Amino acid sequence: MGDSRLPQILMFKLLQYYGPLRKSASIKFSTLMFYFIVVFSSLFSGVFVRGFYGFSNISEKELMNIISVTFSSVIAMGIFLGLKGGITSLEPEIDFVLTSPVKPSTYMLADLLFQFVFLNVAVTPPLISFSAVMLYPDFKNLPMVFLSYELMLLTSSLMAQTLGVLKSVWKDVMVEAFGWILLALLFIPLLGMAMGFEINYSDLPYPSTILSRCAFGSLSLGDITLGLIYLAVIVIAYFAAMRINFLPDVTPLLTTALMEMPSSNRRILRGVPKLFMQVLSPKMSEKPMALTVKLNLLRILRDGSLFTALMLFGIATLANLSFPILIRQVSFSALATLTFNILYTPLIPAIFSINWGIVERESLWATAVSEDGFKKYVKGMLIAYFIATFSFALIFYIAFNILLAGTPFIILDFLLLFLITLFASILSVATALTLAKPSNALSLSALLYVFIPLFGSLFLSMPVILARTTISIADVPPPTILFVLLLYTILIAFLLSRYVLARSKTFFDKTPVEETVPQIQFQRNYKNYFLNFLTLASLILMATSLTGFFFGPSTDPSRKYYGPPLAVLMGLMLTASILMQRKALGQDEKAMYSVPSKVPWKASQTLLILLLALLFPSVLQFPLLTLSFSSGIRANDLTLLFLGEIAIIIPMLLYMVSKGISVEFIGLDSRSAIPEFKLALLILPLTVLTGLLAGVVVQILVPLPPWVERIFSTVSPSSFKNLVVLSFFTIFFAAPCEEMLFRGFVQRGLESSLGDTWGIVGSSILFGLFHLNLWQFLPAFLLGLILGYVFRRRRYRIWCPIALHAAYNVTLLILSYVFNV
Amino acid sequence: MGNSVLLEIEGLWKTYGKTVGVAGLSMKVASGEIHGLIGPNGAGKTTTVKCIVGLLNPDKGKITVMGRNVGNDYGFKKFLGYLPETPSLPDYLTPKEFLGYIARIRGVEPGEETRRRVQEFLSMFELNECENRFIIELSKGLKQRLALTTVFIHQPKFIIMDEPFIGLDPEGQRLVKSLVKNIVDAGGATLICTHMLDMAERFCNSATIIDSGKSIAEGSIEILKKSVGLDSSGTLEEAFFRIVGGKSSGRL
Repeated sequence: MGDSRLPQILMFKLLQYYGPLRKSASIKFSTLMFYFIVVFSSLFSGVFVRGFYGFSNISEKELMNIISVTFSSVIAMGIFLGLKGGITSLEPEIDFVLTSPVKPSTYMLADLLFQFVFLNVAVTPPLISFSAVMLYPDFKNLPMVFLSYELMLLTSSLMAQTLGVLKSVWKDVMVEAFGWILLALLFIPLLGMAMGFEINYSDLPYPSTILSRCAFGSLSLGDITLGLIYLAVIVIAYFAAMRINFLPDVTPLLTTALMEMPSSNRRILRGVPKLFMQVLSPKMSEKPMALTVKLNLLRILRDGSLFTALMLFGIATLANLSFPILIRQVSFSALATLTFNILYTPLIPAIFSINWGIVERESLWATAVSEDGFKKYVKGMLIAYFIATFSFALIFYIAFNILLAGTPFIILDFLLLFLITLFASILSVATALTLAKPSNALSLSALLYVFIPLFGSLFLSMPVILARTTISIADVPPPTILFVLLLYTILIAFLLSRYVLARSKTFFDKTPVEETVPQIQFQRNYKNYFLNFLTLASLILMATSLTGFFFGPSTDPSRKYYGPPLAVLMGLMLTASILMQRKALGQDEKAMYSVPSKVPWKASQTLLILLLALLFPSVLQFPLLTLSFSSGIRANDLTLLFLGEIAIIIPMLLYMVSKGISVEFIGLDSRSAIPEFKLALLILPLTVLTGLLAGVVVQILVPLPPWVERIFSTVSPSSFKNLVVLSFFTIFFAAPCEEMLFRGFVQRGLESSLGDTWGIVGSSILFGLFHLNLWQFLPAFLLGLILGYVFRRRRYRIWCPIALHAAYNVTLLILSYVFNV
Repeated sequence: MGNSVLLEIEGLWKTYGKTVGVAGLSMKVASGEIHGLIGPNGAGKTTTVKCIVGLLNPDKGKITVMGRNVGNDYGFKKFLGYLPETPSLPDYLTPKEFLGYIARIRGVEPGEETRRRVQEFLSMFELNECENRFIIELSKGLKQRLALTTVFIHQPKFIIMDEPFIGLDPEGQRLVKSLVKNIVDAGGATLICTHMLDMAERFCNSATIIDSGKSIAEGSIEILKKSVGLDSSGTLEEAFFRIVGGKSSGRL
């Protein structure tokens, strides 16, 4: 009995929560990659925010404001969890642990530690990265901020559990009212600030503000006293709660976190006007399509998804609105802030989908059996999501417009809202149908359900965002632009919905076991998936660059002349090459399969060899560099490049020789060389375009600093002779070596451990990173995807990728020579 | 048969908002009894069971298990075995890991004793082939068997099972019945919620019939039948319909 059980209960909770990671190496890898993407995004958004508000130093007062709000959000999260029960458990614990002779206080402590661990793992790295970026370049306060943050996190969990226990001692309604009052106290000042009242958030007497002042070392005596009082109250309340004999009616909070709060939801439902309910209630005489839409809407309303989604959307909006005021950038137009809110809209349908995945998904057996029934259901889902999201997002937008600015309605804002809602709804449904069921509402797999619609709709709406941020056209956009954007919207929406409806056909094919694995599963027909993606990507980039050409930052007037025809030409070439590509890649299917289908090396060896490949060039170049410095003879840049390219394949070749592996394994099959080269010529246009456009977009968004330009100029042809030499180098050294390494070795190695998808994506990411700069990453990554796919499609013969890579690079060389970029 | 009362419920009330789950239920289970808890859907069986095992907090009333008040003392759970109607098992643990864990938190001595018992019960319920696979991969029947191992592994005195035989093959049913008999013969007792009245008739020796949150009949199977004028050739099913049908008259 007693406390010796605590470590075991904690282990059990951790094993349950992180259980899906035990399934396979591929899951572990995907999770790790996703995790790094999340951290990278928060770093990037920190940089973006600072860039947007000016890279100049943010004053300490303003920083304290930001940190205070962050800490308040952490407390708010604790209150939110507390109102739902406070104890983060999953069903098996309720059935088996709570019915064992475990002291309630032991279980509560185990849950406290569990919350501390999983919240830290999930929230801390992104939050601390963001804070670090905000604090840059003065990091002296970072350790204290970090410690205060951890203390805040612990306090939040203490409060959550105390509130949960209170719910069983007092009446539900009273505790909920108490919780809501606390939340209001925390957030209403933000609303006041957004409306223009003179409030300094970090001066308020809250535990969060006191801690933030403590982090910056500016505590007053009053602060210390108040802080100690707060601490005493929380700790005493917690200890009192721990003495409970009987844990409150524990619910599986981790599963129902985003669903109804029972009493409040029922009261809200009662408050919904009768007329509205009349419209919503399904009538037997209606058409099946209308019925499905209504049923989906009712589901969203009744299971509490709408309520939770709106609550979280409201909080995000509030935080966003107050941000410029927090850092005293009052000059920043309130309208621009409103636009940012539009970008949070995807949260709403994302939450609908998370709850759908957790509950509703199980009960689709009845729909599935009717003819075409599921397809109608999915259509109804799409429409219902759109109606619900758009209505409320619009209401919010108009309300805040009135509250804050009172300025006229901007049509591009409206278009952006419409677009984001449309794409977010479609992507949420697509995610729900493609991904496996989320293991619980607060898991990493659930985060994917938010991530994909959020970033997907952001990415897809790039053209409009670009147009919107170009001040000259924001107020009165020319009709042609509007027309182009609308056309683009319809096209993308059509493509996406076709994907969703196609997915609905194969939804029930999977066996139950596969469904609970949080792994992205692609459509079985690889060809369609990848080609659709590439088409989509090229269309987006084309639309973006079209907008960019018209209104980009360049002062060169001649752009207006060759810009549009060039874009149209690209589009035509694109269409033609796509049509040819579908047939071309499928050729030679029945030829003798001459490259071995399995390779004897795995992901771990791959990564090791790659690391060596990165280091080797430096090893070879170092003596040459020291020689040149000491003897005064300048080493030829080109020589260094040559050495570098050869150096990267040396570790790989040494490895293969030592293991007796023939070069056939990396795809060098002599008989198929010539036909494969011919094929490459056919696919060239698509490859060139994608890389080109990607490079252009990145350069528009993040302009090159001068030191990078200097490096790039070494590979830019300065004369015709230079052009020839560089082309020769590319064709016979750069392309073959890089392809042998990244496709022949890395992709196949990753494939053999982690599956086909990660083989291509992983090697492309590594290929992108290999170039060691931000501006070449995206084009290299996209190029890597195409080459990887082609490599696989051509049954691992390396010739086609080599030829494509060479042709692509040479084309770029020619273009840069001609246009002198 | 011993005479000690292992479970006593007095005046149990539990409501969910406006809906009444249990409305003043009283019942007793003494040692040596295999006690059935029978009633129509929505009668309050699952609510009662959850109050007994400490998952729900009653609004009013007192529940005593083996002399200990359920609301104040969690110690009785050491001798309690419980099987919920649809047990939730952790997806990504193996049966061996899971059973070992349950044994430990239910008081089995660590180390050799736990290991021995885990092996014993896994082979008893024929879970050896899948003992190292993830639970999520197991079929419904295997999951049910695994859940049943957790009921018996710590040698409880009082067992509560909610629909234990659903999804269980005849072999498994026979095994469960013999394990239950062992416990009952050693002075323990069992409470079984079920809708399968023919099974209840053959297996249980006493029963409580519950409807609308109240107990409307309690006693040995024989007495229940006699109370509605059936002799021993009549079925429990017939007795049930007569009792529940005439519930408004409130007779025992």
